[in-house]
Amino acid sequence: MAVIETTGLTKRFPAVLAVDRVSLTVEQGQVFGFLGPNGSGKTTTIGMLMGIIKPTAGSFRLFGAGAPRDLLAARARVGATLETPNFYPYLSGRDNLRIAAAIKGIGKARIEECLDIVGLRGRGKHRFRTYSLGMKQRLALAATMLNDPELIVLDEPANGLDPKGMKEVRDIIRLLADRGKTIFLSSHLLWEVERTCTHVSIVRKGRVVGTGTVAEIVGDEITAVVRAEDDEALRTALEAFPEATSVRASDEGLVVALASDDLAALNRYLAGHGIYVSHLARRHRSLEDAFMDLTGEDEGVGQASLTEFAS
Amino acid sequence: MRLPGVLARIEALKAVKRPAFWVTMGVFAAFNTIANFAPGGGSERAGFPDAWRGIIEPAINLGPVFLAALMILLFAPEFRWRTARQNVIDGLSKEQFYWAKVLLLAVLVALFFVTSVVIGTLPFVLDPGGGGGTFVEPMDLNYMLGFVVALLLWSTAGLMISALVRAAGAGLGSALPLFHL
Repeated sequence: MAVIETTGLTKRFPAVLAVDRVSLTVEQGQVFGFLGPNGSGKTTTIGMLMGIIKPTAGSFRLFGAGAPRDLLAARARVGATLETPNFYPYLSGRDNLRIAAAIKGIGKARIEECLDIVGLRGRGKHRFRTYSLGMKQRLALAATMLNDPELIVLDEPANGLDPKGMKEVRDIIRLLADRGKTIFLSSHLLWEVERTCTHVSIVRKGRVVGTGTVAEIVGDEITAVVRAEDDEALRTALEAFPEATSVRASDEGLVVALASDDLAALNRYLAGHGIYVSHLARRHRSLEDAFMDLTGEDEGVGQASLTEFAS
Repeated sequence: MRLPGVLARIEALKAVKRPAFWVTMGVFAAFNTIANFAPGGGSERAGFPDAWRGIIEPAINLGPVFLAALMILLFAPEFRWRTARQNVIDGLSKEQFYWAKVLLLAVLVALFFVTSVVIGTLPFVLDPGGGGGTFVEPMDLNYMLGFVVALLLWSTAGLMISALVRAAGAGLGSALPLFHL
């Protein structure tokens, strides 16, 4: 069953087209990653699903409901948080959950249960403003869980967290997924999504540029990382290599996608062109590689890197 | 529409945990007390100097302004904290969110009125023969009615400023010219 279904969903602000005809389907039980660079329309899309932003065009359904009155009922089956955790800073974590619980019509026992799940029971009486960012994110997760929702929508849940905080949030998301919840997760932290999600949709400038399972998006392309003294000459040679399908810059060096895994042939080809590599290694294609290919996000970075190398 | 009781419970929890609520109520009650117990008021029992009444009385007339300020302090930050948006995400409709603020307004008006009446009648209760006259005179009733109307007007102004300006500091700043009037 489709939990979320959008058709041509569009939002135009006076100065910008934030979301451009987004159509996607999230099925029950999926951990769905909604990926895109900052400003690509992820939060606006979630805002429309949650009823706080009015779409300019297109439509969406939650649990099959599309009419405004039905959507209000459907949203009772959703737990969501948008951008940063939004709570009353002068209230304790527990009191903040009491407010969310009152809105959702949930009893006190569930508040303690949710605080327990996110490991905040001991800090429940402390004011929200005294919490670390990781604790704030965990409290937001607790708030989304209060009504035991079938769908949990999280907008950048690992944003600004240290590795320990990220792991805590990831563990909670996995726990929820194991309990059969459908999770819709927006993020620009690609490796985090690759570890957590079963399905992804990639957006760029408001448009969906790729969607599928993580394996489908990543693909089985063979890639290699190559470094040499003259980075510009290396790039030119790699782009001319018949087996190369794409070349892009990364922190590790130039990443070349190959039609075959014969790295020796690549090494011979480069040596034949007077380029002696200082590093040549096979590399597993990651979600980040697929993301860069689909969004073209590496263009600016690549050029900057080349300029730095040249100078 | 959800039960008004649920919305009132949420607003009550938010208000009573906010230091600004107790500070504003405390200052309002203190000014009322001093004015009622100063010479020329209901009783001379407390023996406050004459000059106090002259200084404090204008502040009493500003009672409704305290309420407008309190309304702005309690409501406007909800937009900066984005809790207004989160309340909607959690399940309130936008209309219900604003209805909750109207309920808050009604409760605060009642609270300010009751505080004024209780403190205003204390001198008579403590010293029935001291001030002369009856417990409540027709002129007092007229004053009370006018006071309630003023409370409603100022709190509504606070509500509207909060919804428009959406920040407590800027809201209070915008309300300053009104306070001056």
